[in-house]
Amino acid sequence: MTFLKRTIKAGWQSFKRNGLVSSAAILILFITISSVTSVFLFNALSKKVVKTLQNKVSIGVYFYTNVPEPQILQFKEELSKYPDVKSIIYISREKALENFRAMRQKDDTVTRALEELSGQNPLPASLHVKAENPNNYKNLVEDIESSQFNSLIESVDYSDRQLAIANLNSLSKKVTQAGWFIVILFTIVAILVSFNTIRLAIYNEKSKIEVMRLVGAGNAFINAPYTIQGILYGLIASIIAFFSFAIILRFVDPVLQGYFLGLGEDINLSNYYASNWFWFLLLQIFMGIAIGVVSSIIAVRKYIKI
Amino acid sequence: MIKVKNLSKSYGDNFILKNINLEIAPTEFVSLVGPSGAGKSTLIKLLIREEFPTSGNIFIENEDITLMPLSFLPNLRRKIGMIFQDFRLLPDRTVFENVSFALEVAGAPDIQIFTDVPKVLKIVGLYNKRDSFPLELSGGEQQRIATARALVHRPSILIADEPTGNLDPFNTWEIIRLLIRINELGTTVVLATHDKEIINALKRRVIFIKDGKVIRDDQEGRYML
Repeated sequence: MTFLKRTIKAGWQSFKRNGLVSSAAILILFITISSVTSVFLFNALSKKVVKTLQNKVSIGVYFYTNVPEPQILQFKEELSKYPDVKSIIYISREKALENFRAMRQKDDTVTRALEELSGQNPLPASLHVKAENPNNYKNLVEDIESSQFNSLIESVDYSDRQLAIANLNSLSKKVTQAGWFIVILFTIVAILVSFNTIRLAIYNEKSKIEVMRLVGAGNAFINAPYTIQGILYGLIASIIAFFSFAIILRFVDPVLQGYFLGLGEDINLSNYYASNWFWFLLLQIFMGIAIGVVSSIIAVRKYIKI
Repeated sequence: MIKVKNLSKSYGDNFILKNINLEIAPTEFVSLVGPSGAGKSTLIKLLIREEFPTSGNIFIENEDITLMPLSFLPNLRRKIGMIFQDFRLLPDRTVFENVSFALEVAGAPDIQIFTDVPKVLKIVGLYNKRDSFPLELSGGEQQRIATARALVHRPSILIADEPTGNLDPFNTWEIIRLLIRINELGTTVVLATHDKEIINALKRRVIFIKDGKVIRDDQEGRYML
């Protein structure tokens, strides 16, 4: 108990009295923690963007214009039983025309052409199918084309979107892989920088450690206050980083939402950070303390062998 | 108390100490004398195992410290009080904290620290400066902190390596008087110096070292090389 009390007191005093060195170590740890947190947020953001884009993808199944609606609805019913199908939207010929008119209302040529058709509707009815898993679109198209309803289908527009879906899948995988690679790379670089800063801070203590040793201090007695110092560096840096992100993300969100126009409110890092605050705080504190303590122990160990 | 047997120390082919043999009895006051580079400081570093000998043995209280594992060194050093020419104080700790550190490392309880440290600070005349930091004090005062630190855990041996090397004559005699007083209280004192006046005034045992060898050992020696 006395040992613990003295250790904490000595660690705190050394931290307080070497203000400049402590500030430098905290700053570096803050940058390290912020870099890694940013990479985690970037990873989350990219996943969210890819997922949102994937949700916007669907297969369009277009029927011959003479196919009666009950048959299409029967096919829709049948299709909804497929395990890969997430949702199906039916667009009747009338609805398709209405949508088309609404979309092209400012285009005089199209309006005139429609009037010339004098009430005839050239547009087909369609089903728009979303898959549970974007990787399954190809199988889904094969299932549709081999079904008993194939004779009713004029076209399936998957091939047009095939490339986009494939690209999106590939992008999603690459972003995830690159995200982790960047997390690991940044973490290693940041740890090395932090470690060297703390090592340099302790290098100044070399003669102090020698004196402690010659006065009869054991390893634990020398190590422990530096470990406390390492904990303080990490704890303070992580708390500063935690609150800095909470504030900065409020300013970053509007910029991101402007950049990813069309994805709207789906991109909201503030909400993501707030709803995962506990894990972020845990990650930041764990990282800060781990780097602070391990760097301190390794740095002191070098000078302790007298 | 201290027995040195066939002790040699070299760095490569360069011999610093050659076949040293000597014995120091409890409560003795011994001065190690010699010109700069004679090997005095190396001998002292070997006595506290700051350095390791090339050959030979050193016994302190019948224990061969050359065979001592690293983990036992803190215990050895707590038996010995050390005073260095360059003071070797902890700059970010106050006078009180520098002195109490020697007790803290030995696991002394708070009550002992708050009783013994003020006492020893009064002995060295620094009680009123207990909250100052070493760099705020003069060289003489810093050496008195180092002396207080060396004394506070009541070591059986006090080793002083050129303790007056950086001091003016007034402070030099203050430190020497303190060492005499400590010795009279029953502590073995080993003093390394090349100060002729101190040796002549002490009239105690003098071991002369030159070129890494003991060339004289006089019970009541005067400075002559």
